[in-house]
Amino acid sequence: MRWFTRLQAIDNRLLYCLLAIAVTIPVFVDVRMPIRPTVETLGAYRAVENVPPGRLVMVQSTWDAGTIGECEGQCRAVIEHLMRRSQPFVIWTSNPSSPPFYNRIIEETARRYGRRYGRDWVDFGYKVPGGSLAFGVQAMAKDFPGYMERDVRGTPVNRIPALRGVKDATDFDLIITIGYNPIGEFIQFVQAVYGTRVVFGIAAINSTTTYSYLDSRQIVGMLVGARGGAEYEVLVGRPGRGVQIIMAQSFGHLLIVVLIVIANIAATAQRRAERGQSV
Amino acid sequence: MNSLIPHPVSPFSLTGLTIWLGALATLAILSFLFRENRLYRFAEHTLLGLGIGFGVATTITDILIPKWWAPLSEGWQQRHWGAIGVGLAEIILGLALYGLYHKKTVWLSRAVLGLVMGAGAGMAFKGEINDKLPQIIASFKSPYVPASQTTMFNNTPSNIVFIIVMLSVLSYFFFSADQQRPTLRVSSRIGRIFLMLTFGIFFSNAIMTRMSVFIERIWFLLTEWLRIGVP
Repeated sequence: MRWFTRLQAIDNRLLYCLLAIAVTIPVFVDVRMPIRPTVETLGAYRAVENVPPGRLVMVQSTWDAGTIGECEGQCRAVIEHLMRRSQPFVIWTSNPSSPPFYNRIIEETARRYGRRYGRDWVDFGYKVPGGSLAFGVQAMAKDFPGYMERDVRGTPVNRIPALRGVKDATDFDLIITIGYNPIGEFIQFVQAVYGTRVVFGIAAINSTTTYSYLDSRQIVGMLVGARGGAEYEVLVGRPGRGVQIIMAQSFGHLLIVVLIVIANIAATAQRRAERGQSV
Repeated sequence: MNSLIPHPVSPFSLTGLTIWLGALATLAILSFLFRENRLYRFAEHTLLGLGIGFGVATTITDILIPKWWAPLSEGWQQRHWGAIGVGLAEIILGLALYGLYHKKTVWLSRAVLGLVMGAGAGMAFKGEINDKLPQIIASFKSPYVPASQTTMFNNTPSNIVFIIVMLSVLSYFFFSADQQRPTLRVSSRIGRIFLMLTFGIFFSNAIMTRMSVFIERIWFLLTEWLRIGVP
């Protein structure tokens, strides 16, 4: 077998092993690369910075075990930013397996900043099934206490200190959604109707078609996958999971680029050899 | 140097047991990369079963009980006929959907499905207008932007590129005229190149997402389970 044929027939399992080794380099070696925030991440950061003190922020988190890699960094950085600024927020989900993941981050950050449940944040848990978001988001935007009724601890909305006087979506200054998919219902039924600003935190795979929302100013910022999380972590000055993943990903991408170049060289050599034979 | 030697977390605590279960499940799923095997099948079916069971349980505890059962039983206790009526109508309409499984009762499900589709269509119509109209308006860009009004998304070079890309891609999907006409042929070819670029971006973003998921699991195995690289 000639070298170019052999290079194009490398066992996939060997490539998987190489990739696994490449992404673990930052575990053993302290690698630092410059991370410069992009305009979409800066938009998200500034949106939180511009929320007047005491005004409410709504966080909708739908990420879970399958999207930790993409969304944990985003969620951690956003919660860090909100709690550092002492910005009260409510959090809820349309994915029943999401609460344990975001609660771990909230409890850890609240302990560090001495924040208190009910005054600094309120958790409503799993409130709207993913398939009924259009109905749920509209009802919530129109009559927040009427739709949400009670938090996860069973306290009625009107008896929660952070939510006194909250009636509808206009009482929220900013909505941040974090999950695999962008939750378009917040644009369709909240931003367009009540003017509440929206920020998306999404998986990179879904970001390509979401940039148009930034251009039309339907969203004010966007966190794109682990990269968005890493950039936000750098902005809040607390590098964590996002930065770790983006460092490892750089090595993985480098390997993929090298493999693509090698495969192309081999394919070109094979084509030339075949052309030589036919002549 | 000690941090580079594996010293797995003890499985004799709740946290340790959770990490061990997570690590074993991760290895079972990743074993598919080597070849299809029983361990992978077992992990896959366990995951599916857990997911469905968890979904059903939370739908009952977090949706059905607070949104349907609690208002109905509260209305019953207080003789609030409005709440009772709404609660009963909901259960009747919900159960009617199961009429789908028998020839004689299929009409019941059709009535409810009609209701659902009508509401869904109305909602989608409203949603799409609110979603797409601002984007259509935003696509009317001036090719010249004075320096004083320049922003990241609104500047002369970006707007010129935007207009060229938008018109060429639109021309690719313009089938009312002969695509072989010289003008349309050139612009649709340029549009096709831009579309290919977009598909490339889609693909690279897909790789990024898959890589993040893979890296998170590999790092979990190394740093949380084997505790390598952590002091």
